[in-house]
Amino acid sequence: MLEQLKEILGKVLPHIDMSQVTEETRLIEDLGCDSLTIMMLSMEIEDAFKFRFSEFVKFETVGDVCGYLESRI
Amino acid sequence: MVTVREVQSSRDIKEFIELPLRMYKDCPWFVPPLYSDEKKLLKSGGNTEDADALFLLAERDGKTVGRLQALIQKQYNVKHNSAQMRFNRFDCLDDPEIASALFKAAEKWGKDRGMNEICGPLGYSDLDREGLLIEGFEENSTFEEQYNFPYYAGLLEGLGFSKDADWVEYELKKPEQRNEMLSRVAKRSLEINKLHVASHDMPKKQYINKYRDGFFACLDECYRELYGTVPLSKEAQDELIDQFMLIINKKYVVFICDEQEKVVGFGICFPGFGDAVKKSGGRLTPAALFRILKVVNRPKTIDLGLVAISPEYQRAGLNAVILDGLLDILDEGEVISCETNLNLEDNTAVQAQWKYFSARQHKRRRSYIKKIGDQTC
Repeated sequence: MLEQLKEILGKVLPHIDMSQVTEETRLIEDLGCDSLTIMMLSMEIEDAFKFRFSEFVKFETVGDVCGYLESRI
Repeated sequence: MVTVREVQSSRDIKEFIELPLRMYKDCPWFVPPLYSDEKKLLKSGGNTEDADALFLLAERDGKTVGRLQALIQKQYNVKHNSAQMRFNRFDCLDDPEIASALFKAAEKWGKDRGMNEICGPLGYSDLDREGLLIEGFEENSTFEEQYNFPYYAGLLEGLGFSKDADWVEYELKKPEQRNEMLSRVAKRSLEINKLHVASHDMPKKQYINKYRDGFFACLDECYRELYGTVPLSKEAQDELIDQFMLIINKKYVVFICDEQEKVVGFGICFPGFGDAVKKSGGRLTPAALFRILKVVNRPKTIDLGLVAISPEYQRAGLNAVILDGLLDILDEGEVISCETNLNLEDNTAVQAQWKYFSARQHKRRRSYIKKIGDQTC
C-alpha cells in the first residue's frame, strides 16, 4: 500500500524525493502539503482506487492514509 | 517653531482631512479615503464604544505641516492584557522636528491614560487602512490602503520606532497555464463537506442582508488570532455594511455555506475604484459617483478585500473555491489584475496560494512599535 501511495504522492508533489517517504512522514510538516494539495491527493486516491470519500478525513501522516485505504479496500 | 494642537473646530477638521490631499496632489499613486467618511469620523471626535481617539495638527508659521491620530483600542488591550496605544493618519512634511512634536503630544496623551507602548499605523480594526508603505512607492494604491512618501519610515525610525510586523502585497494576473485540478478540487471539496456557494439570484441589498450576520461571525472567528485584530462592534459592522452597499458587486463575492445556510467561508473582492475618487479628492461629487458606479459594474482591477475559511474547514481545500472563482474572473478577460492587499509576511499559507496565478510581490508595509515609558521623543 505504501508503495502505491508513494506513486500517487509523486504525481501531486513532483518535487519531493519519494524514497525518503515512510509511514511516519507527516503530510503538512514534512511534505509541505497545504489544504489544496491534500484535496488533490484525495482526488488522485479516488481515481486510483475507484472509490469516493463520503466525508472529509483529516490525515496527519502517510501511514494514516495507508491505514484508511486498507480499511476501505 | 512647530506647535501641535488638538483638532477641535470645523476648520481644524478641514485641515486634518485636506493636508494629505495637498501633500499628494501631484502624486499619481495616492488614493484618498472618502472625504465624507473622514469628516464623519472627525466630527464625532473619533471615540467609539471600544476606542478613545485624539486628532492632532502640527503648524508652523500659520500653516498646517503635519497631522496624526492617536488611538487607544480598549478591546485589543483587554484581549492581550496590554497597554498599547496606536497611531494612524500620520502625514508630515520631511522634517523630524514636526514628526517629533506630533508624537510627543500623542505619547503624552497615551501615557496620561496608562499606555506604555505605541504601535502603528493601525486603525480601529484591521479593516481600516494600516501599515506604513516601505516598498513599492511607484505602485498604484488600492482604495483600502494609505500611500505615503518614502521618507516617512526614516522619520519614525529617527524617533526610536522599530519593526513590529510586515505585510506583503501581490498583484495577481491570469497564469500562463491554468491548473485545472483546482476546479475539480473546488467542486469536490464542496461536495464532500456538504457545502455550497450562496446563490447570487437576488437583489444586492437582500443578498448582503441575508448573509451579513453569518459573514461577521465567520470573520471574527477566522481573524481572531491575526496580528492587531479585534472583533467588530455592532456599530462598526453597520458602518462597514453601509460602505459595502455602494461598492460591492455580487459577481465578486463568494459566500460558502453549510446546509443550514451558515457562512463557513467567504471571499470578497472589491472593484478597484481608487482611480475613480482621485480626481475629486475623495469627495462623492456626481462625477465621482458616476465613475465609481462605472467601475463597480465593469472593473479593470479588483482588490481582494477579505478571505476566510472557518477553522473547522481550514484543511478541507475550500480555498480552491475562492481561488478558482478568482481565476474565472481573470479568465473572462474584463478584469486584468487582482490586488491581494495586505498579507502578513509570516502567513506563508496565504501567500502559497498565489502560485496558481502569475503573481508579483510589489509592495511591503510595516507596523512600527516603540516603548513609551519615561523616555521622551
